[in-house]
Amino acid sequence: MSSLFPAPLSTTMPSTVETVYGSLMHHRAELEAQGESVNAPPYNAPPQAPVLYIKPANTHGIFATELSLPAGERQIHARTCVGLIYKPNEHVDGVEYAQSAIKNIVNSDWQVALLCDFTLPHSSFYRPPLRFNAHDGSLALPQAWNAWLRNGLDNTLIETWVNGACVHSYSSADWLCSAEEQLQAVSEFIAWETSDVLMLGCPPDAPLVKAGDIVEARMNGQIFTRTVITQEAQ
Amino acid sequence: MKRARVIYQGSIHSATEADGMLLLEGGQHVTFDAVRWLPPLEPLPQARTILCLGLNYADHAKELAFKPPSEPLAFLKGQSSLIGHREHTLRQQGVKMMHYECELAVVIGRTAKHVKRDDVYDFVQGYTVANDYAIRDYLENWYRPNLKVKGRPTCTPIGPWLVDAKGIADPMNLNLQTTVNGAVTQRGNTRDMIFGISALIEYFTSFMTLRPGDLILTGTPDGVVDCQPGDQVECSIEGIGTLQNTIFPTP
Repeated sequence: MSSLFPAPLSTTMPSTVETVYGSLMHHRAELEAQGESVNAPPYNAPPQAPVLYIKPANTHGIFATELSLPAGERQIHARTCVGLIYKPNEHVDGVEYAQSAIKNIVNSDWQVALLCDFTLPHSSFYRPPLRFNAHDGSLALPQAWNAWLRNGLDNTLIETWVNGACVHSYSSADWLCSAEEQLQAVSEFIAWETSDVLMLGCPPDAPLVKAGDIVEARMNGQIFTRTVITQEAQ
Repeated sequence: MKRARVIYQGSIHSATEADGMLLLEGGQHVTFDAVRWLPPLEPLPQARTILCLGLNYADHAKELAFKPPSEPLAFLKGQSSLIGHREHTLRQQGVKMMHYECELAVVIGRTAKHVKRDDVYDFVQGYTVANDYAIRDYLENWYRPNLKVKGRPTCTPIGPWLVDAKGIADPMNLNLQTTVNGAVTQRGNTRDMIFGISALIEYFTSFMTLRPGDLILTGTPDGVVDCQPGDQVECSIEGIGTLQNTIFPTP
């Protein structure tokens, strides 16, 4: 690996986030790509509630760590997503708190960063097997979280860089609803615990990366994640 | 050994079962009624992975008009959906179908990756009872079963005990049942799982690392019925325990 990049750190460090939820069908192009199929089996109707998935703890990879592609898989989608992490200003008793979901979103209780969600190519959103997005190391966590300023995510360009060049970007203006609105909609049925994360939508043309690539998520010139793609032995 | 986590006089305690009482780690004996029960799971340094199985009993798959799956139908849920024994589960006004699912929950005891089928029980710490409630009004065919149905706070009671694996001779031959207000509504046996504990742990660890404290909720058999506010729901698994829960209305 290039000496420009620091050596991968141990992946046994405690992760800095708790449960990470991801949003699908939140970027306009992702829903549009489904076309008329949303009204056909197995979906039978367009999504009403936010479409969510979870990236479990084994997927959480710290900055500059390796993602080893499963044997037999040659490439993987690098889906750079905006993430909001719950960092309440006042102490929250987890036991009491989990009894009801949040009703009022306070921006200052949340921080923002990019994450890079690595997903094996698959076309069905009906009941996709976990192995497409739950393998070890398949979620790059940010090295830092920023304050979430009101309107701070309007018209923001979200970039994926591979081997030092920007290969993909999209604008937060193409989300079907704002970050605040998506967070509010999810909060109708999910209770947040400290350091839980909600990721927002990403378009369906996220780049495919392969072993040897170094992938970064960038926004406003800031590098949030870095992942070194390797290949698991056969 | 049966372990619990409870709140007694305002603080959290680990406890074990002793002669129909709770023995707190400080040596004090208290009654089951004197505490508030928490999920019987120690806090973890990272997010707890909670794997849940859909349609993992042949009769339940048939009940819901599905062909038995060829690969485990697994989904994840967040830790904030868990509550303890004798807690309330919220049912929103206007909901038409909310049902319990009595499930054997497997608690992982050692870091597990690429575990072979014959070795899986070396990686199991123990077992508990989970009730994986579903509010079917919210079911959509996108990333099914979607989290609005399955990931809600209060909708996954678990406990009361974490029973050490060595205390359960054959976890794949345990009777389970659910009662609603004392009437039996669900009966089954863990031997009827489509994918048993060995197959599930081998499958999951083929692509993901499981860590101590992670959970596998192994699915539910035939016999799920609607539960109304005020209903007392008890999920029992032979040798593991009886998990009590009450449905509570919410706007």
